[in-house]
Amino acid sequence: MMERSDIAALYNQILDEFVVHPPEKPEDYWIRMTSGTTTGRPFLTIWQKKSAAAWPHAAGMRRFIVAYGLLATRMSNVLSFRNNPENEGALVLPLDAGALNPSVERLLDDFAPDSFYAIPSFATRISDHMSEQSRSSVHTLGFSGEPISKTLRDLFLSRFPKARQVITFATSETGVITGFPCDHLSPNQYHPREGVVIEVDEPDERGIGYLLISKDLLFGKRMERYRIGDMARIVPETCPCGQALTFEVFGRAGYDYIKVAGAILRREEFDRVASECAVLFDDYYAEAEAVVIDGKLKGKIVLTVYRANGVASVEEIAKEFSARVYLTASQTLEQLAEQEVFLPLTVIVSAMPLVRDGKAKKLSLRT
Amino acid sequence: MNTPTDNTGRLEQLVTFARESPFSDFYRNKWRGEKAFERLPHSSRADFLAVPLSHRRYKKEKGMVKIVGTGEQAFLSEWSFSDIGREPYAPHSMRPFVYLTDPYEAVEKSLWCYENGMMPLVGEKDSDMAIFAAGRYQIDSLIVDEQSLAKFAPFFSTLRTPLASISVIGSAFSPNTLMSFERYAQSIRLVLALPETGAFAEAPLSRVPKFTPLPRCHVEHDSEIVLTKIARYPTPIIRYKTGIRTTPAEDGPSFSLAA
Ligand SMILES: [Zn+2]
Repeated sequence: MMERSDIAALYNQILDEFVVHPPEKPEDYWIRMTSGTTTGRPFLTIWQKKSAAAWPHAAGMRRFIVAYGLLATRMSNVLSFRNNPENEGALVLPLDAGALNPSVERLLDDFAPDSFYAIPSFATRISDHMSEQSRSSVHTLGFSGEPISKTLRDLFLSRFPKARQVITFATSETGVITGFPCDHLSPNQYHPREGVVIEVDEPDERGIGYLLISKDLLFGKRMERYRIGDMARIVPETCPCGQALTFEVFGRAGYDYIKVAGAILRREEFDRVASECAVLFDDYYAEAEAVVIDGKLKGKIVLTVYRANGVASVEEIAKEFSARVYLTASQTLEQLAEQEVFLPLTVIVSAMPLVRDGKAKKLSLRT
Repeated sequence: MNTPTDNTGRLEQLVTFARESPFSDFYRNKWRGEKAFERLPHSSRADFLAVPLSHRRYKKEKGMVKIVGTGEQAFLSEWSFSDIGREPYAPHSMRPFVYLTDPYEAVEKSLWCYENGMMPLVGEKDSDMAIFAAGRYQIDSLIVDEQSLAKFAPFFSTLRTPLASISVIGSAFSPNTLMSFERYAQSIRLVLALPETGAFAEAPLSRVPKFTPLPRCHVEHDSEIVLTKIARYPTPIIRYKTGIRTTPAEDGPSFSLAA
């Protein structure tokens, strides 16, 4: 079994190999940096673009918007689009979040997109700036990067009534590990991509355990049973489409971080703020979800606290916690609530000590 | 006026292409009946703002669309991948690093690398991330704007051998500031460019950079640079007012930027 440090070493070897023996066609490759984590530094990963193979549906994408936060991810999608021989004459717009103000509507109408690949929270913000007519000509929505709940799927269905929702699962260390989606699958269920082996390690009584990924990388290197840090189960039934294997992803193991409404909630950060608020409560867990209010997607956090001695003040905890906890690099929950990106923090006081099932979860996503 | 004559034939062909296009009325409407190149009315950003991209597309090739400018002043600019590849943004290198403030320019210049057989690393906004990634990739050249170069400066303290080249892309330059980077690259080249026109002049870095128009670029000096690119872009650039003020040289086609 491989852990992150093994994977980092593998990718470092691949990078060194690439530098010493550059491939004949460097334009078929792309490079990006993984995010750093609490347990390790970032590293560079190199991928080969197998063009059309990964994009069986791309022929119909004539006006394509790519909207991911990282430039490298935008670039990767633009490169796939460029390398695809099936889309002569088509155009791609790698949309930046900085452009999302009311005046972008005329530009989006002018571009007239028929397809998007985006993180879901970015896609909802784009759709806020599209006319109804523009939205109705979108036939494909591709999502990855954040878990997608039924609420979100329904929101997209109402905004883009003609769009098929294509959901893929990818991480910066493994690349895309899911194949072309099939309509028989529930949200967060996938078939593996060709060449990717999926296993679940240490399953509990419901079959949920650590997701392990095996796949070939460049220069003869292989990722072997890499524990990517997400929990999953293998769905026992065979899919009506004939695919032998289906797996379902349940979010991060150990709940180090979760993504919701374009923000990243980090357990480390929640623990830091909880320790600053030690006079107010002794223990906590937080649940986050994306909710739709008046047609707009917002983040919602429910903080459940327990205080062994004395009375816990809901108002004071909500105020102190919101003002201190950072959900983006520069913005606190209080600021995001003022901008109506998040709802104000909901605090619930538990009369009993907090009991959690299994893996000491402090931060989780409601789907 | 400084109008080299060797472009005349190609300029006429370009004008005919735009005037007779079955795809767009953009220039036809602007020029009315005028036929002589030097009397064609100037075009400018105001025209690109007033006419949606869908009404000023002279060809339909696979490519990318950028948003140029912000807010009410923003417009779409379309570039075919092969047109991007033909722009002379930088010399060839093995491991170029693209670090630009404008996210559309960053994607476009990365595509430029791909079109020219290089795998670029694109730098993210966060400069710590960018510097870390550039070091790991052992970059040998840099495609950058002045603002990003300043953010990237800490990288150079870790550099063992100078980069092959730094290409600074922009519409204005501070040569004195840039001179402080001189020892970090074998050559530093200033590339005069706008997002909607691509590159049109270059100069080696010096205290008073002397710009030379790039091939396929017809530069007129009429208190500002009026640019014609002899290329069939999705929206051709014909007598386009760049807003860039210059001081033409006494002789020859070179010029310096007005202070
Ligand atoms: Zn299926």
